[in-house]
Amino acid sequence: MQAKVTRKPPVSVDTEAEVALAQEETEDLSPTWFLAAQAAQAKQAVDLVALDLRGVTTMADTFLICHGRNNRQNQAIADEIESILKNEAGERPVNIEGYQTGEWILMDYGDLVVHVFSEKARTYYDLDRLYREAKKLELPVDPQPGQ
Amino acid sequence: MIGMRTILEVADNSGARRLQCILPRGGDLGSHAGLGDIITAAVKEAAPDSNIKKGKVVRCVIVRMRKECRRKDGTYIRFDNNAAVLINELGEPIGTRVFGPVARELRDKKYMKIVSLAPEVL
Repeated sequence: MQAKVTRKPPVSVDTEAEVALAQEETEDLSPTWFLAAQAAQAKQAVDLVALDLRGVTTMADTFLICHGRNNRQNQAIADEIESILKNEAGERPVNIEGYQTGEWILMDYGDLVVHVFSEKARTYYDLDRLYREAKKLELPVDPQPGQ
Repeated sequence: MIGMRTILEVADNSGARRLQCILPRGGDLGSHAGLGDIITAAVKEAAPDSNIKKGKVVRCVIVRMRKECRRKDGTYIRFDNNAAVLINELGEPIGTRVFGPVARELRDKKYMKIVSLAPEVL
């Protein structure tokens, strides 16, 4: 005589757990990167990429990488991000590097690190390739596409 | 504890291989430099096809040090070798990749660009 065991298949349990974990992970991520991305888009930053670095490196949770067409625009992008994050999220950068030259401006917010490159510097350092294992985050919809 | 004439490895792909410290610029009274300090160094060995030639005087940041370094939480960090990363006069790294782990002290000393290029932070 065979005993009937009624339980959910292990696959569905795993799937539910995975979905719950994924939801938890996205909720855990600080929303400051989203505000920073919107600010960069407002100043027409080119080729904006947000990377989820959790599980890849311990230095930060999120990298926001973009470039501008010239150094003045890079400085404007950095200024806008700083101002938006200060006013809307109350976040101030731990430090800002490279603002004077504008070739590679790095804004360190602890969990979030923003890199604003010139086009030449972005190609030279190629951070996108260095962190290619990181998951790309979905960016906010650009209000002024193609500008 | 990087002093004058200390030999350091180069932890980036700038082309230099080994350096000799000729002037510690930070640390204890300018006589010794520690993690995250800038030193002036002479290139003792370089890759054959690189822009950095043997004998060139360069500025660099110390990223690893054999002498243990105390942290605020009471722990100590020390590495297997002395290593540095070459920087230009603006403080930006010359190489595009940093090899091996780097110390967390670099972040406090505002060398986050070097930390970003490194594979591991300890």
